[in-house]
Amino acid sequence: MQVLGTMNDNRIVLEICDNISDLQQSVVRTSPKLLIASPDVFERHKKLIKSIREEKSLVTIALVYSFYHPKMLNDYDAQFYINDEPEKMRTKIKELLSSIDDSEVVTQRDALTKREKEILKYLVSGQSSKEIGDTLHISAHTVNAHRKNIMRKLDIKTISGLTIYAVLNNIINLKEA
Amino acid sequence: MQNEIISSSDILAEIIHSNYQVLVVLERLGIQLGFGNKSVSKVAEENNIDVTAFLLILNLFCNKNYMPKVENQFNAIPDILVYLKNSHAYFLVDKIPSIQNNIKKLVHILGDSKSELVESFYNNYIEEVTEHIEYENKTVFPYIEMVYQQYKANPNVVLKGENYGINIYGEHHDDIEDELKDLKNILIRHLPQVEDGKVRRKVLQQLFELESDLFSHGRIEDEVLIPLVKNLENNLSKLMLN
Repeated sequence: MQVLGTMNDNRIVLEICDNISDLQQSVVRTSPKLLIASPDVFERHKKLIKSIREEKSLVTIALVYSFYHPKMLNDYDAQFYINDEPEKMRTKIKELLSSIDDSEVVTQRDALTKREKEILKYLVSGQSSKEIGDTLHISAHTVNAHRKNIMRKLDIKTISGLTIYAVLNNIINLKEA
Repeated sequence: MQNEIISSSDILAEIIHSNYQVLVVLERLGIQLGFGNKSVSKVAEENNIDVTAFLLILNLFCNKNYMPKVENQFNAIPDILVYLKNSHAYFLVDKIPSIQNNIKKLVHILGDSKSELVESFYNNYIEEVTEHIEYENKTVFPYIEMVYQQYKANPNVVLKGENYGINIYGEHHDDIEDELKDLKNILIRHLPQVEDGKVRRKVLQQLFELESDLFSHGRIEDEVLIPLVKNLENNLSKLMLN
């Protein structure tokens, strides 16, 4: 296992794990927010990764370096392709992490984040988590996490209730309701 | 009294003093006020009400955490049905329309087309509640009455139509509960402020009352009536086999 560096906001240590037990230990020890892995690893250790993801609310990115069936990539929050520009990867990571930071403030009933408002808009138009995820290039899993946070923050559980909130706050207009 | 279990020797007047909402329970069971210092069982007896039914209803109504014991108190069934039917009528004829009126007033005060969504939200809620109540009135309760009549007439009689059991009772009231909660929160948290908040406060009070009334109503159905009828069905079919 190797420490690659610390990001400028001083919170993330990157490590490389080349086997699953290292990965498991590292996850327990450091509670990382982000995991970039080969789709093969996921395929082989589906259950383990799934439980880690659910328990630690870990964002996962597939590093795609050869052809994979699209189904295999569905479970990830995002995909990197081996020939992606570094800048593109950086932006993606920041975006994903900021969505996680948002969702951590679950006990506070703050105003919705920009991302949550965006997702709310699609939610009240009747789209499923899968559809929303496809549009925004995030996994249905992430959409569901956002959906839960939205409902918790607003204390509104039904779609028709959310619609009223969205109209009152100009997230959608009356005609769309 | 909030968390204490009400027993047959408790004084009914005192129960009202500790929870005045109980007044609607008495109304639904046809008990008139003016019963002096009489106990729960005495009042039940004088009004021809099964005391077991009366106690189950009182306890579930007054105490959110009350855990009813359901065995074979089958003779409680008729009075529980009376209570539930009269509650249904109260919801449909009294409480729900009165809230609807106040919501209309509130929307008028807010005077903005967006607020009309609140009215249509509530109207939609009414539709769902009405549908649910009518199903119980027209399908579930008559079935229970039939089973009970069979049991009274002759416990050895074979249940007609074996597939027609209490499982016809539709599943729970979760959606309806969520909608009511959402409406409360929209009124508390999200609707714009108005100078005169009286109507809004009235609507909210009524919604809280309706919510807790519906809550105990649902528990009486789910945790007392339905299990009782299941036990009765089992009894009848056992007798049928013997």
